[in-house]
Amino acid sequence: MNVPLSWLSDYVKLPKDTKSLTDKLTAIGHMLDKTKGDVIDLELRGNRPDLLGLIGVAREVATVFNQKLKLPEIKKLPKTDIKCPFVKVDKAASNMVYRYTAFSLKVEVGPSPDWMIKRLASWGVPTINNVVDITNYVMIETGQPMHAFDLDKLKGKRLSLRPAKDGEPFSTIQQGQTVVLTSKDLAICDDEKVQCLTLIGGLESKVTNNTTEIALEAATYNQANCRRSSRRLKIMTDGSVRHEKHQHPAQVIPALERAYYLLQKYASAKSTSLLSDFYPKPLKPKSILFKPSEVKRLGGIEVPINTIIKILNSLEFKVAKSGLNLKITPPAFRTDIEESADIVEEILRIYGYDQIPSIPLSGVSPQPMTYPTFKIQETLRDHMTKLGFDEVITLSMINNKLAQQFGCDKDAINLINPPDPNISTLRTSLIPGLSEYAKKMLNQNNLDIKLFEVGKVFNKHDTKYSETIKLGFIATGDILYIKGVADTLAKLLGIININPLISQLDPKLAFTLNIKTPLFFVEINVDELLNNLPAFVNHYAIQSIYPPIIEDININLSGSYEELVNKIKSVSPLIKNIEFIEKYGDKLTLRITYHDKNKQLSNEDIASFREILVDPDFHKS
Amino acid sequence: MKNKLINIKNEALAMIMGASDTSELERLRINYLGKNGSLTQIAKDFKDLSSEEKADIGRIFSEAKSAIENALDEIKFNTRKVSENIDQTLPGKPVRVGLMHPISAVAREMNDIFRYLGFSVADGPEIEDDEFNYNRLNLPKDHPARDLQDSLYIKEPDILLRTHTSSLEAHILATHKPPFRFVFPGKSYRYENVSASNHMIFFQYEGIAVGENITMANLKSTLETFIHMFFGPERKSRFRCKYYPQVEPGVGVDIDCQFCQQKGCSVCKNRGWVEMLGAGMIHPNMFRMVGIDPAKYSGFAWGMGLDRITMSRYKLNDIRALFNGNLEYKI
Ligand SMILES: [Zn+2]
Repeated sequence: MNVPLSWLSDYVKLPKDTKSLTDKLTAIGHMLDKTKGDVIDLELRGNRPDLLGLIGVAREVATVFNQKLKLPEIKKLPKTDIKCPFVKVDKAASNMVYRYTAFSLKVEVGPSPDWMIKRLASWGVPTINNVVDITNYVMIETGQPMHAFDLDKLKGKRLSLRPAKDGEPFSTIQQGQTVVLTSKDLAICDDEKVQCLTLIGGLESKVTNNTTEIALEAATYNQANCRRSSRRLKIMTDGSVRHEKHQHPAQVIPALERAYYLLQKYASAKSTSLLSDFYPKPLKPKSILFKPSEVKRLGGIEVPINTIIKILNSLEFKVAKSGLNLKITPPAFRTDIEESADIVEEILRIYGYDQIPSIPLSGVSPQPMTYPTFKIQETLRDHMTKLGFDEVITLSMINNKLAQQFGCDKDAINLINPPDPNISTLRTSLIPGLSEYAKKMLNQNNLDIKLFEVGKVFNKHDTKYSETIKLGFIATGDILYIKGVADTLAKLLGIININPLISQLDPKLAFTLNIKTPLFFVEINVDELLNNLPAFVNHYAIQSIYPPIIEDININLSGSYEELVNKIKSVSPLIKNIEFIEKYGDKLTLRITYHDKNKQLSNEDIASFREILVDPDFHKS
Repeated sequence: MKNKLINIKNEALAMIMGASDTSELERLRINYLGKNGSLTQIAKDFKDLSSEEKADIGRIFSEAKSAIENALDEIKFNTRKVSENIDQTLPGKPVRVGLMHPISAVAREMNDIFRYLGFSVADGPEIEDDEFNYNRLNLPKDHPARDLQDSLYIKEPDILLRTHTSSLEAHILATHKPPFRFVFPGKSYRYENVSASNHMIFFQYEGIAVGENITMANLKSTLETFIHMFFGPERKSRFRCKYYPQVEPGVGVDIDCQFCQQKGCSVCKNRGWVEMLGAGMIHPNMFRMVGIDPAKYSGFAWGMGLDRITMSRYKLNDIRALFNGNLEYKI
């Protein structure tokens, strides 16, 4: 929000030093975006429509610098005609508009006074004529948008509000721009057609130098509906930005009163009708019962009760004592104030967040309860980096063609609105992404690749969606190397079988992907791993003082290696370790470690077992 | 003959391991590999074997021989004086180690700090529904803040990829009884055309503490401690009022701009301060939705951009490089 300081100073005395002004505004919730000469630009705050008007800003300045707010001059509006002849609202549109207030005036259209033209320019609005300029000027002052129609251009000289018809065209006040409306847009019409929208006026009934009589309106619409209209029609105006915010309908009247004053003074205006005020459900002011102790309970600081009342009063909150509590009625324009916690913020931001002390959390600190699903990921990061692998993060959504090539498209979930339509498949495996990553590294001449990723994969089962944590790793080298990594990882985790999916990147696929170096990968379901994870793993033991007997044997392999190892182990409990040395045809060389904790083994102790193992038919037994 | 060979090898290896000095090693070399050594002797009997046996035995022979040679060499190397023949000004042999991803590394640094402050680490789903991504975060339908969130949908209108890790805050509130303290680093998603500064994947780091008598003074201490431990004890921070739908009162925390020593520069938009994180006291509506009494319990929450902090910590100025293979691991 642009705030021209010389204009602001109409409503409040400003400190001499702009920096102390902007620092203070920043501290109380209106951060300075930038300063451009006399104009400061404050960041908009989503819940404070009152700050979209300079008077709202002035009120905050007056509060923090202990000054008086000077409200501008106004003129009382004509009496209200309870029949509301000038404004009719269709039942179908009653959810779209909360208040619509209008009356007609004779005016003399001409140029605006120089000071007004300059002020509007400093804010960023070009001058049109005195009538249009005054509606803009008042919007900037109060935050309440308003619109003036050329009354003679309105067929039937009255306004009716209804949902637009689907496909109904409308020419906006911006020359040449025609938009097509839908039944979700509110149309403000004369007896014949749409003359105005919530967010912009119409070309046909705009006020020109030939205008002699106007209809002046100010309204409060359904904010969400305005927002959707603005997105749908791709029109954003200073008015639409304000109508999207939670404005209070009570704001309509002071804004019209201010405009009436200025129109009278600078456009010789005279009202020609009573006020038509469509406002079927007037909002009553609501009050909040407030315990002053809440300031300490939430803020951690004691603020004296008199200071509390003074701060709230200066923000125009009405405060009445009610026993030990306060009954607080916020002003209508503070639509953000709903409950006690909001009032605590009001008090503290003015009292100063910098006054709040710094006190460590106290009491018994809660028992550590880091989620196992997080802990295991950290453990895997530790183990994999120990094993020499670099961690990478790849995108959760992958190229659709890549997903297809890896066969990862079957149970895959697709994004409905991907920014890039080619990248819309949520990964069901980490491998496609890791392969792409590895390919990029190979192309950069990194030929020794060891990468891993821990992350979610996503699947669809009928209409159910699921996500699973997976560990994937990929490396150059050979398949027994990557299997060895998986084996060591299993040992580190203390799990006998981590159920890895071990594979070589299919050469045909590698060729298609233009990957020339063989890549080997492993993928492990971490959620399953978690179910088998022992609470404790012991990687340590004291070495026996009796040395082992280690010897190599040659043995025939039939069946799996694992079966053979189990068979050898069953020969004697003295066989403590079996190490694979090499394989030649069907013959294996294995290194057998015999060991006894309690005595020094002699050749005789193991002779009988050795005999069994070297029997050429051992593998058949 | 096969067994004999294996026995010779096993015996030789055991003897070599047990040797006490170099002269003994030399004796062993002669015993096994010398002209009259036992291996050399046995090789003389090969001529009587069939060609099939020859191949098999030959292989075992050469394996035994090289095993003995290797063992001898290894032992010799170990007993050699360090300075002998090695130019120690040469660089050491490179050792390959694995590194974590920078985002994981920063998250871990932060987790360690917050663990020290009594927090545990949580994680949760990345596919969310409207309820947990919005409603439970005090963002009912038609809330203007929803428009700022351009969601990636899986099924319209209510299944989407989480647009912030705050959805996890809603899960934590729903599943734990106060008091509790959690931090949660995590991946979030949004509709975004990818550029050097924006991505459809981004990482956040959030935290929450709930209990009795938790105040903004505790929030201040927690975050100040974090800032001093993470960024350095000399760093300054400021707390100002800021609006977020999930908190009331709301807080914005800024840190002093290091680029200009707070004199004002383009990085800090001449403010001297850089926006660091958003925080505040948990909004009573968030408590009510899960049946926690906001009059009895209070709590604070905060959130920050984990990827932004990672990028500035490691001086990585292109967010795409965090994910696309353009990241160099410098060990
Ligand atoms: Zn700076």
